[in-house]
Amino acid sequence: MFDYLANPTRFMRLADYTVWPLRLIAAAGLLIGSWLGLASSPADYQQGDAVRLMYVHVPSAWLALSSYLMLGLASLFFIVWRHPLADIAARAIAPAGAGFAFLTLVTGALWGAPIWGTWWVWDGRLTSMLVLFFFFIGYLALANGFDRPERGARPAAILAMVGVLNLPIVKFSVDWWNTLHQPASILRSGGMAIDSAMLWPLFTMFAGLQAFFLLMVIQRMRLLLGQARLARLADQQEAS
Amino acid sequence: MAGFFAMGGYGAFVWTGWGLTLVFVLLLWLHTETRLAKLQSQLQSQAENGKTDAKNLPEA
Amino acid sequence: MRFFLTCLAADLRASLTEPGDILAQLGFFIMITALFVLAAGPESDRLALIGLAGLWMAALASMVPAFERLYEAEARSGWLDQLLVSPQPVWVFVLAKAAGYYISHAVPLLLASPLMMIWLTLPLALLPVVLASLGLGLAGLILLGALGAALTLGARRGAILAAILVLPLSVPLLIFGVLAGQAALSQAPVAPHLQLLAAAVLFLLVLMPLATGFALRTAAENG
Repeated sequence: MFDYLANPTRFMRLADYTVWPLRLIAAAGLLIGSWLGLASSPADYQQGDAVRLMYVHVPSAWLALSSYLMLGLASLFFIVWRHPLADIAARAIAPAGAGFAFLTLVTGALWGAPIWGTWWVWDGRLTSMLVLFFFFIGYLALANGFDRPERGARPAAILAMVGVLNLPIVKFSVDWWNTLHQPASILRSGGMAIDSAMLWPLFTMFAGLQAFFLLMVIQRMRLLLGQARLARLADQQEAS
Repeated sequence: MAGFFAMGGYGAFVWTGWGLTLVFVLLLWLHTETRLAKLQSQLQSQAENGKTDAKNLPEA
Repeated sequence: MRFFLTCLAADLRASLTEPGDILAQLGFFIMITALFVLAAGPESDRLALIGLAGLWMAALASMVPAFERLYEAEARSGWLDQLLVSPQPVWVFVLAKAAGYYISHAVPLLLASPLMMIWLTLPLALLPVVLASLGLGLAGLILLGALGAALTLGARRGAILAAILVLPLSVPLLIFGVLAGQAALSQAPVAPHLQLLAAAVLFLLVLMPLATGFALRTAAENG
């Protein structure tokens, strides 16, 4: 299947079919999810309306983490199988992933400040999300850090793979630190029990943001492929 | 209606968080789709005229 | 093995005959520590508590900026390209460079640490633990730096880029290393932290030379 999809033209054609469905799911998910999340769903009996931040924070965190893993996987494909579209996919994933990592950190802080009385705490999850964000920045800096753009592709791919291995280790080390420093027990990994009325806005926002993310990746891949094609044609023209 | 904006006293937090998220989504969406549309029209005109405007190549 | 020793000898000969770099780095380490003490307040009781953190940060700050130039000599002279077409395994060269860098750059820091500990009002009874943890931590850091330098070979702003790549990766080393010292300070068991640190360094010892060799090959192929 991957050989089949490796052909850029074939990929472009298949990608065309996914664009409109993704646009619709993204738009519908975001609109309905926003209405459900901000207006129609009830406030939490403990957290009040602050719980509404959960509907943007949790999907963002999922997207940050999953896009990071996708980046690692695409990089693996690029290095090991030299899959031509893999590098394009990685470059398409990175900016969106970095953005969602940033949003996770910010919405998490905004949620934590009124509810748990602190903007930030250095526990395993928050710290590894921060490191994940740093990693995305480092990846983008490396991939774009050479005078010739293609030169950065493989170093960045190596970095991405090392980064994926490193993240669980970072989380473990910070959790290890915290077992000895007795942090506030409020941030248990169990978290809060979710009322069924809250599942709808959460699910809808999830679907909307996930579709949006995939749409952005595909559109950006088409953008990068098209730019490469245009540049090649311009070179040919200049040569003739 | 005032309650909607006040968000039970948490208005500043909720609206900043949601606002940043939706603004990010909107801007990224517009940015990507318009660039792609422009690129596609350039490719289209290239196919029709056989000429590429080498000075106006789009940036990533 | 012979190849490892040859590379190591060459690297040490190069760095020890021009001690300027080493002295500058050592000076930087000492100056940062001094400034840290001044910033924290020399008479403050807090200093002993955060002294370990200051020591580690000074070590990181003085080591990381120089990674960029790790392969500079070999890359410029074309020796690196020769190596890549030769039958010699590149990971051995990387290991030798890391070992050489450790001997010439990390050991001076370790030798200076007793004085630094005095400045930071850390009890000298902690010296064995500090040397062990810092010794291991710097080994891990240098292995990471070997990869960072290879990834950024030929990049614009290579030094700062290598730093940005290496620092997030070094978080576990930093945490385990400082925890070992803190455990010693509070008479808690030190061994678990040192064991984790050693495990991390071992992991890097296996993975980094291979990944770095691969990165160097990439860099040479793409120029």
